[in-house]
Amino acid sequence: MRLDTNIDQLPETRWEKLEFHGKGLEYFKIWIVNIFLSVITVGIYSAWAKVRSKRYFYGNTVLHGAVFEYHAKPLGILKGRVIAVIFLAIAIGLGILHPLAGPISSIVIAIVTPWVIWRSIIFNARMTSYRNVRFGFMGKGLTLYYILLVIPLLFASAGATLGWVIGFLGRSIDLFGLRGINQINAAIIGGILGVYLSFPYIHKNLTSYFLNHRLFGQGRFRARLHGSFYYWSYLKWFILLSVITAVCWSIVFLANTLVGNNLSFLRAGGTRDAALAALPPMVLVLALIPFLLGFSWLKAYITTLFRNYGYGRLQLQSAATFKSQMDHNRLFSIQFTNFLLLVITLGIAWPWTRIRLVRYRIETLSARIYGDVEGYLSQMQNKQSALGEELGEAFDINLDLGI
Amino acid sequence: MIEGFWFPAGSAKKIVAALSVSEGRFKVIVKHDEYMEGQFDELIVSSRVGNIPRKIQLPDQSVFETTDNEAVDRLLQLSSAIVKRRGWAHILETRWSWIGVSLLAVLLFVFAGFRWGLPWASVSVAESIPEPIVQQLSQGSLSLLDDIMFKPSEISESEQKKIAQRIQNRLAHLDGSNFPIHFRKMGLPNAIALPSGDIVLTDRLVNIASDEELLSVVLHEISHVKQKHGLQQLVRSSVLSFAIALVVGDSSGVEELLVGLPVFLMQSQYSRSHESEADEYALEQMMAMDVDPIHFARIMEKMEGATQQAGAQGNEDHNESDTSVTRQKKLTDYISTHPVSAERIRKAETLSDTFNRRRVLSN
Repeated sequence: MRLDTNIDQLPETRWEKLEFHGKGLEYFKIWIVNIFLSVITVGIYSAWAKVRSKRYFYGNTVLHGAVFEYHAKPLGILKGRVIAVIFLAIAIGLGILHPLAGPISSIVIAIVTPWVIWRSIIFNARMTSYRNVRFGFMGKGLTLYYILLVIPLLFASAGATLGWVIGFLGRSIDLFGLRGINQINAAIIGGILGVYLSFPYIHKNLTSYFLNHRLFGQGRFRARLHGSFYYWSYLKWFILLSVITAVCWSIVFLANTLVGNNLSFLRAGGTRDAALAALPPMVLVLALIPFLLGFSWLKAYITTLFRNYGYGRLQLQSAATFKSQMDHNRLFSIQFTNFLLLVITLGIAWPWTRIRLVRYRIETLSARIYGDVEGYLSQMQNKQSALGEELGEAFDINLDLGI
Repeated sequence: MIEGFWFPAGSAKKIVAALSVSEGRFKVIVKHDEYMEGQFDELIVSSRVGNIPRKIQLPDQSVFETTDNEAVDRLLQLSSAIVKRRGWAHILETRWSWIGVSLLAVLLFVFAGFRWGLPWASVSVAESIPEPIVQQLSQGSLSLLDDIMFKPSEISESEQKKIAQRIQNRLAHLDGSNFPIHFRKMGLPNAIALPSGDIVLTDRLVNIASDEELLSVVLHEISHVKQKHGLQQLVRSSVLSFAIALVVGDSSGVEELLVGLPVFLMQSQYSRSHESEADEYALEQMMAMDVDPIHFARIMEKMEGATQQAGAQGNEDHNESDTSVTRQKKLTDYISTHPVSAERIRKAETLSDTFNRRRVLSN
């Protein structure tokens, strides 16, 4: 690619940090009025609330002296939500009337979900602008079906076939000393392993899909992602998960021995059931704390990893590159103190916690603008947005890519 | 004159500009040159949210942007009523009186929801769940419990049948066949009722209980089924989790506990009242069936004894002092799902006194 080669030779390159100007108290006022009006209008105002809230966050995000803007119209969102509610009511109603509706609606949901995600990505992109130029998304819906449905199936069948073959060889020629193996079981285990192994690949493909088809006006975003990074990250995640789980159990065990409570059964030869049943609920809650801390830290760690990588690879065609310098410990400490704030204030502090988190997310991003951003022309806008886009928004399915 | 920037239609250019309005007409000056003028009413002014820059769309789709929100508001004050109305949400969001009203109303709403709305909704939804779904739910939870908590009973099948038959004979007036009895093995004496009416007794309970005592436990469980306590709990925890998730929004790991904790605390509070309700029903039925309520007290004592014994065993192995057991017991009572056992036992004993006195009198 042309721009890959000569970024560094360009004369006017500067890293510019994104800024976030939102304030806790200011957002609190908007938030509480939003909830109040949503409640007294039986939820109808929630569409307006959503738009005001999004406009507040977009309008306070500053890059290079200009803010982002959110353009969605509340009525459109309301329309989408009404249709979504009707759709869900029908699904639930059918489920009550007919027992077979359960499995059928699961299949319908599996088929509809990629479409909804796709429309939602398009909607959110088109409703965003920067310097009066709209973003866009030109990814195909079919691609998403391929990523979400076909890839796992391919991995599963490859795994199952491999399992079957190993089972077959093990039985017939006593390969790997697997004479006693059941072919069917081997195939099932292979299939399940295949699905697990497909996760990093699916994650990579989704992120790539999400970033690569994004438009700013007529300019296209590019991000070259490597599958190896995702496999490596998932391996790290798995190792850390095992370590954290082990450490947490040891802490609970140690604390338990010191306090001398019922869990010591586990070692005293009592049955597991007896130990669990005799365990007072309070102790269970206390025992959860190390796990909670450990797993939240891990989530912050892995989110940071993917976010920094994704933004680090992102470029806007011959105009800008990006980077994210998030630190997982800082993210974790923000999330943890936010959680404490929420507990202490019974949820009233929510707007402040939100502002803190979003500020950190945004202010760790920077962009290096080296090309002629000003020259970017808006693409031809489709004036009316299709209903499907708003429907996508109504279900509010967010791809949690850590981006 | 309002200072700001001008963005031409369809490009990312940003140019220093100013807007002035007088006598219903506007004028946009871009880089010292007049760019456009026209009727003020032709401008589309974005409504104000906090202090984010205001966008004023000109008739040719280009945009004038300014951070001087106050000046824009002053302009709107002077213009026609239609334009003025646009800012009402912002007015609510900046007046402390409205914010106070909103905060109070929301707190009140949340309180009322917890206090009255949720119990009402859980009762009425639990009542209206159709039978096939109740069956499905119950089968699902039984097989889940089989996986994680129960082992197959060690009581012989013929013995199981005999015990179940003896209990069901005495429940004939309640239509005992509606309450199939199952046997499972678990570390503790315990009984569990599923919404479908299926009742599970653990081996240890069967081993320590006499027929009368077993009957009292089954009656207690039948009350849970009849009052649909299990379904109510299910509905309540689903509604609560959903409502909290709605308010807290996209949770980030740690916040997920926030959903779990209040649900847990609410449930334990409710289950206490459910337990007393079930106790009352069981004792009443026993009186009606001419069974001494003392049997309920006895089995409660036995069950608690077995649980404590299990606890003591675990502690003895590590030479723990008795104080840790008592300290821990207090803590348990505090958050226990069953009303303090002593209280329940006392209630049964009081009723037993009445029962025996009445019997003496009638003789």
